[in-house]
Amino acid sequence: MKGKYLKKSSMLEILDPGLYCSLQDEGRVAQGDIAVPFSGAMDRQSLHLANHILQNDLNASCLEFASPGPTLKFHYSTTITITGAKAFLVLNGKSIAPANNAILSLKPDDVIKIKTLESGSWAYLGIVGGFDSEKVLGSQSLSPGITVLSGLLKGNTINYSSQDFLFSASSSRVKPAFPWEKVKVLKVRKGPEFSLLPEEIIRKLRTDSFSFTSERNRMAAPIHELLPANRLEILTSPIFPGMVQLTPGGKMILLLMEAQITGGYPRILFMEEPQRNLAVQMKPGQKFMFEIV
Amino acid sequence: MIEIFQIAPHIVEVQWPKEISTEILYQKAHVKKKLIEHYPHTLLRAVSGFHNLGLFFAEPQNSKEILTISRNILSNYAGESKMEKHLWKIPVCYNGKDLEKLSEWKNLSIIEIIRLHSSVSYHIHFYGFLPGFLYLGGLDEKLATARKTNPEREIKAGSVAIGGRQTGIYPSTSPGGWHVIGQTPITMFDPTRSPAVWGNEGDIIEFFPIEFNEMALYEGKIPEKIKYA
Repeated sequence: MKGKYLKKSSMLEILDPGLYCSLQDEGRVAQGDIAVPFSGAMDRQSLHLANHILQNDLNASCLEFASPGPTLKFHYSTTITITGAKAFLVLNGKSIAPANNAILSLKPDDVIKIKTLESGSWAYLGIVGGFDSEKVLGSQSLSPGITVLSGLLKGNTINYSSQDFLFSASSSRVKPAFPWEKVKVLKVRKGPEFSLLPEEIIRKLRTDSFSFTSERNRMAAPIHELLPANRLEILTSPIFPGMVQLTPGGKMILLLMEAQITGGYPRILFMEEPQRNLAVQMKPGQKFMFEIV
Repeated sequence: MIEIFQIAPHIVEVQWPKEISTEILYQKAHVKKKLIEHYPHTLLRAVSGFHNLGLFFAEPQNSKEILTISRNILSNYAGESKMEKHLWKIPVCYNGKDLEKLSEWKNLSIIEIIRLHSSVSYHIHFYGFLPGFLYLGGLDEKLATARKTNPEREIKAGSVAIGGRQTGIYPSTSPGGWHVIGQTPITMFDPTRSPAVWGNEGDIIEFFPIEFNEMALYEGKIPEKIKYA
């Protein structure tokens, strides 16, 4: 009966979802050929860090959110941590210091409000043992058209295993680093249509500074600075998170985890995952240059 | 006639000449099937476009090796007629809200639009856009209609629509810029079912008209699978 005692189900209640609050794990790598997007955490490194701190399976699901963060009520005691973007917390009405990567023990009915994120764009709330929710096509990640909910809404609840045992934390806290603050260069590879680009566009890609706009979501991060208009045309082709598309109007779009699996714009660059984890966290307007390797 | 492009150490793309054709469709379907058999554990995702096949591996790959294997696979390709394929007949109630406007623009009667849409066979080229959305080739040129300049906020699941030179079925309710000509009660995508879709790349689709009161007969069903010779 020990298992039953430990696995008593409890729940997290969303009092206010804030922006883009969803449940994410590593996502769905299979099923791409029937147009299922990857989904999964935007900054996988921060997802893994939350799970590492809590000694969870690295692929355990976490709450992912943008700024402003959600307000959450935990109906039973548990242990959580927050990673990724710098988060200021209000616990039962009292502000507490930035608590990234700290291990927080919660009592039944504790309410946590996460205020505006101050550095970075996506934060992760991990819970010891992970959240319990139905896996659809091998993942708990919420995704439009795949899971019943495409994001968490006020009043939604997610179950977790209540914790009647003491969590044995390792003694040293992983120091929060916020490495995206210092990024000035993002390394990219040439995409399949790079070779079709006119000389002028290639020169600008190598010498100009760029920045992401604030119109970002889980599908894509558009780039503010326009390249010259162009007449490149392709037939609908496979796309992957990390590809940079170029529209006829000269707009570049970095595709992210919820991107469709095929697209009709030229795929001019590709950003691999370690760089992408930084790119998604960068502030809108933060200048960078591409280093095409 | 195929080339390879290394997108990242673990992502490569096999490329055919840039054109839409059933010849490329069946070569690509054959290569995809055999590559999945060849890399049962490391090839995690294989996504088709009209003339390319994106391969996402668990670990870094040598693209030259994949090109050699793909060329060997193609040298044993016996041609379209030897590919196993199925025919799926999809019931459509042609009552779409854009049907009348389309009839005016195209100067075709509604009956003629229905006849043109339901009298040809379409090939499934690949899935894209939305989970379970089929890219179909074969729309009669007379029905080709530019997409709406302002996409609709909501197009209902099951809507049968025309956009550009293509026709398609919305598997789930979503925003969209295509002209809705009808509705099918057939389920296109159900993630709780395995597999979540019924058609495969290279299969044939035909539409047949039904009355509104016949919709319930097919509600939530999958179409009959017919061996296509």
